[in-house]
Amino acid sequence: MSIQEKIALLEEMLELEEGTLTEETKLEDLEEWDSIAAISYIALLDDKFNVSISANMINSFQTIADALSYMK
Amino acid sequence: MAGTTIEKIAVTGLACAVPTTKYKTESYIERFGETEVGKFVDMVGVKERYVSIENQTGSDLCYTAAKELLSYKNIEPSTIDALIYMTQIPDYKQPSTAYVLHKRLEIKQDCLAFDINLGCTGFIYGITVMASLINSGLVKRGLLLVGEVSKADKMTDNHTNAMMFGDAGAACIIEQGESQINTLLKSDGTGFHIMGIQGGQARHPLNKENPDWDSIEPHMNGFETFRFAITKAPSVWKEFSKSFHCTIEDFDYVIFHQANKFMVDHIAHKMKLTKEKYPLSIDRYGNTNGVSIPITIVDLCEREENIPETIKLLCIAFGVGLSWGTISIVLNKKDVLPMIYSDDYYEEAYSIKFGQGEET
Repeated sequence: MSIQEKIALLEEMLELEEGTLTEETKLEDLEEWDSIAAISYIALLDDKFNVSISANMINSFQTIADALSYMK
Repeated sequence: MAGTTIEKIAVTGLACAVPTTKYKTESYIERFGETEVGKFVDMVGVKERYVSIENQTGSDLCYTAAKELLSYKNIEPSTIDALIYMTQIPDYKQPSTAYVLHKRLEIKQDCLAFDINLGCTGFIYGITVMASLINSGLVKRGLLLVGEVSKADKMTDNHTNAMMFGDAGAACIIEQGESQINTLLKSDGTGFHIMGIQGGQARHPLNKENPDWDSIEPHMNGFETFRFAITKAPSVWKEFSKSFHCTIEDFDYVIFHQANKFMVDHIAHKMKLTKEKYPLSIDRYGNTNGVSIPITIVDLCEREENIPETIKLLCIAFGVGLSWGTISIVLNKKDVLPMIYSDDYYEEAYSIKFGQGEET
């Protein structure tokens, strides 16, 4: 899956317009990145990538690139 | 434990009671704001739930359910050899609330009675323990009660605690019979701190001068709980299906612990279940902890006209402990009572003083 496809998955998850996110987007600037988004992210990783991630790891994320790094 | 079949067991009656007062989640908009409440309803799925009056406990709801069930089944209390009460919120620190229920239900002295402190897996554990007692020959007929009254709404400013938990009690009769249950239960104590109530007991008693009320509220790491549930629930089913050589098609319905709609949907999706296969009750009853599986069964039997007379159920639960597992049971539709609504409580309990002689 390409980076663009992964970003599209995150945009869909956060109910954002296509093209809103880039790898550099800071999570602290993103109003939609809240506790529910984090749980949706855990579900997305589980569903599409068969990856399990701890809360501490998610809390250490700073940018969309960090979120993308587990989507493999 | 490995998957085990307990033979010659029958679940011959099930009843649930809830309080009469219904809280609509939208009524919290004034308190928590429209955005928070909207997000909560979308994610957790609780639209309304039943909340007990101040004096009512989980044992009161179980008493009501048991009374109706015994009467409907025409069962004499003198034929009950074991009473197990599953709860996390007992009436007293001592004795086990099972004894209060033993007295109120007028059960004979030749009977085992005890509580088991378990949350969301209470029903599947209770069935397994009772079935084992019956299988051992110790018990012929057992009464399993599961009750929770959280009172969370009255205590808390925590949005999730306030809007999530519903109050309910269940009564279930398990006895010698011609059916069987398959059971597979798991535990992981390394996660004991992921959810629970830390204060108020021996390790962190309430300080008399400066009580930390927050410490006696439920606390949960939502992320870790979610991760635990979506991983363990599908994997325990996989192990169960291998152990007992069964597939989803062998069951009429899959009944999940009603923890959170998003979570249950995700687990069901991983198990490739259609919506029709797994009924939900969390939207109307909230998360009632260990009672949520019996509540969902009673609600299903009440709501669905086209369910078979003999229902084959796969029950999957996961929660505090960490504890999780799955059991299969067979129920006759005619043995499942419609939902009972009651605010009855044990009035005499409020005039009894412990350690002061005979109750009059």
